[in-house]
Amino acid sequence: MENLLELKNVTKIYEGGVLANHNICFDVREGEIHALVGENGAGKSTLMKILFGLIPITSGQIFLRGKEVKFNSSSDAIAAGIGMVHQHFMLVDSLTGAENMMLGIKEEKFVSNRKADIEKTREIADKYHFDIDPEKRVRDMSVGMKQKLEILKILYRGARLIILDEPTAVLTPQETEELFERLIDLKKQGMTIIFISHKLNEVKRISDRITVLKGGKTKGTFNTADVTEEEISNKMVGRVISFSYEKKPMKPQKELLRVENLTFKDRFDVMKLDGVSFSVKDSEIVGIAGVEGNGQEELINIITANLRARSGSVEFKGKDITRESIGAVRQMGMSYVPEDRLYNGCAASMSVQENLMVSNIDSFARKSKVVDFKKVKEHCRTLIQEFNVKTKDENQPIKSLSGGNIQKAIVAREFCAGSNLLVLDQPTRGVDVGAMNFIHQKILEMRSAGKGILLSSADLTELIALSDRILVMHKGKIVASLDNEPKVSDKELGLYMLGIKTQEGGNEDE
Amino acid sequence: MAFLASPSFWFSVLASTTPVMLATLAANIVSQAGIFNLAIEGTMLICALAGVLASAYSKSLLVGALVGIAFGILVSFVLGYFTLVMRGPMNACGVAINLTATGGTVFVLVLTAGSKITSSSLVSKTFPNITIPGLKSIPFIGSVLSGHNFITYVGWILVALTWFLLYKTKLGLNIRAVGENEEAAQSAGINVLKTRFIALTFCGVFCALGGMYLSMGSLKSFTAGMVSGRGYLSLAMQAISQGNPVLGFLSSLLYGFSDTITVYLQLYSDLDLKLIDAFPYVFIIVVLTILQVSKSKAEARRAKAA
Repeated sequence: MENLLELKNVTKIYEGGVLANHNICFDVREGEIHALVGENGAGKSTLMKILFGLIPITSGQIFLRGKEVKFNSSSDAIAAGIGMVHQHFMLVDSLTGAENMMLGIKEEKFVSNRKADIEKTREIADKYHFDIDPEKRVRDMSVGMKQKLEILKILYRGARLIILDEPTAVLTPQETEELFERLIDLKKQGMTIIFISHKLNEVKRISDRITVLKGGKTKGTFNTADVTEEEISNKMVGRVISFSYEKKPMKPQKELLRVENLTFKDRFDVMKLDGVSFSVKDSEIVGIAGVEGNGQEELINIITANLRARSGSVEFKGKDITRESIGAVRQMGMSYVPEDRLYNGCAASMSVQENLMVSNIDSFARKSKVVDFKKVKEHCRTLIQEFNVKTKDENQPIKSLSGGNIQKAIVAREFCAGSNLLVLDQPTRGVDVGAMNFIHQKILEMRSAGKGILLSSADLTELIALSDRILVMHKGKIVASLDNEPKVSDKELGLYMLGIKTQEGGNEDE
Repeated sequence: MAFLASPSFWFSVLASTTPVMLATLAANIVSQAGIFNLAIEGTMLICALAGVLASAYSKSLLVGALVGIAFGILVSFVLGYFTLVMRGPMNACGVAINLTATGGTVFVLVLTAGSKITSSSLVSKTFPNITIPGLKSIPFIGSVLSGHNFITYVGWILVALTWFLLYKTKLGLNIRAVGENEEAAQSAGINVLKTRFIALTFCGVFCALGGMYLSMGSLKSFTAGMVSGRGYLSLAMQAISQGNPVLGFLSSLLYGFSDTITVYLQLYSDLDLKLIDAFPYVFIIVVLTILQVSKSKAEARRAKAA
């Protein structure tokens, strides 16, 4: 097999002086599935953006079929037969599958022909055995279908080399399995695939060769058959990190949070929550699993008073808080680590110190209501140390920290607020393995300290490792409440998440 | 209220709908492309004056119309340059254009016509009223639909064409994609900036026609501030119609109706004039409230049934 793509000494330095890629060399052979693995921040995304023409390289050369190429924009890359499936799908929600397929195609006639477009989309889908509904609007599609549509869109634009950026992060185990079958199919039809992931079992299962990135450098390319998962992991992280934790047996005493019969409809009139009931006690971690968009986000937002339920009630420490304000709810002792840390979690352009004190500023005020900055500084320094936040000093703008450190800072603020209930929404999304491990330890510490914890996460490994109980949401309902002792398997969770399996009387009431 | 049955009342409804209808059409197409154009008001005002002056000096209606349209496109492009190319805030740029238009038109009016209020000292051309031969002989309907200004008919055709453009053509699909998800459109190979400027071109043309209808159609000259909020109103109509030109036309009929009824009330009732003047706007708020309340009630009912 000849080399389809070859990178020689590619270096990328961002304007701020950050060295993201350093002398990267790797080659991709025609017709193979090539996995690119590495921790967050190892430079995978930068490398892919370079390949897709989204950012220019500082130095080095890229060869495509033996000829040197320079991409100035993604349309150059598309013209050269490279397609990319981003983590966030590049689809227009209110348009149908067929319309998204035909979007921006130059050969299309000026007046569109709905029937012909749908027909054409069906043809392409059939050709590659992808099961999609071209007449459905994208916003009504499942995540798995959206991803398939995205891949088809790229194939239709003539891609022969497909880059998939963490494609399985949003999928259930079953959907992942289906995706892999399709990818192997595509390989048989002569496509070349670059598969980015940090899930080593998946990489091991599907790829022909693996290239490991660490700290912006290549750690070598290996034939998948020749290496074990442990060997890759060692090269990737440099040390072995374990995600099995010792959990102290705790005896929950009283109920902290009680959610009863919650319903909610979004602006498209879709039932996002449909009679959800459950409770959280002290000293326990209740996990919420579900494919993105099945109501978890709305549920968390209603509990934290960011959104109003249409009906039903939320009780916190025996008091009805369904109509309370966010401030009042926090004051009563609920902390919240939101999913989008830069948008909801912190004020991005303000300093670490200001972000650490914002939720409990009253406790630093003197009688005159003037803030005692000496006390603030002390408090911040302790937190920064205790939570291992890597920052020059407490006056650095928080957005200049890495994702993992921003998250640690937010976790520090919320965990030390002295509240009884912690609501955590994707607490470790997009943070590196080290920080993830650290945050997990802290969550377990909080459990030992008698706090109730509601944990919503798309990372099933995380949920299984931490939770005492796992609730699975599907189409706005809790379809299962699983005792996580002994540990639930991710395959089983997947069946519930897809709605294939439901528990009798899924809505628990204890 | 006997006048509600007279054809001349409904004729006036359609006539006073025209400028708002065109402004709404302009708002529809730019909103679909993801642009918030607060400057429709000012653009209309500038075009109203430009058309009058150009036709007065050239003694040609065609030249006047073309200059008016050219100004419409120009002003829209100025907004596009500042907001899309220079990335300025859309609302501030819109307000700037509106303020420039309010002051600038009076300034130019003084220079050319020697008056701060009206251009009546200049002899400008106007768009003709058109009688449609077959239609005219039909009782009632004939006298409502026939005899309107040229621009009114052009506007009706444009409503249909714009609807077709937005929902049935490739360009329309591109415009809607750009407005809803810029990144997705870009990754599909659409030139986002170009598509937005195309939408702004249409917006400019529609604004120009709406403005010139006021100064070269329904009236024979330009008066200072003659757009009087129709441009702003179009943004409300856009909010009701959600970018759909046909719904946009229907919602601007709402304005036409309430505006006309005001004129009739002034003739037939002894209510205070000021109160009557406020009627169209109060009426629209009331209708909007009713629409919204009935919508959320229906929702609540469905939620209960579910």
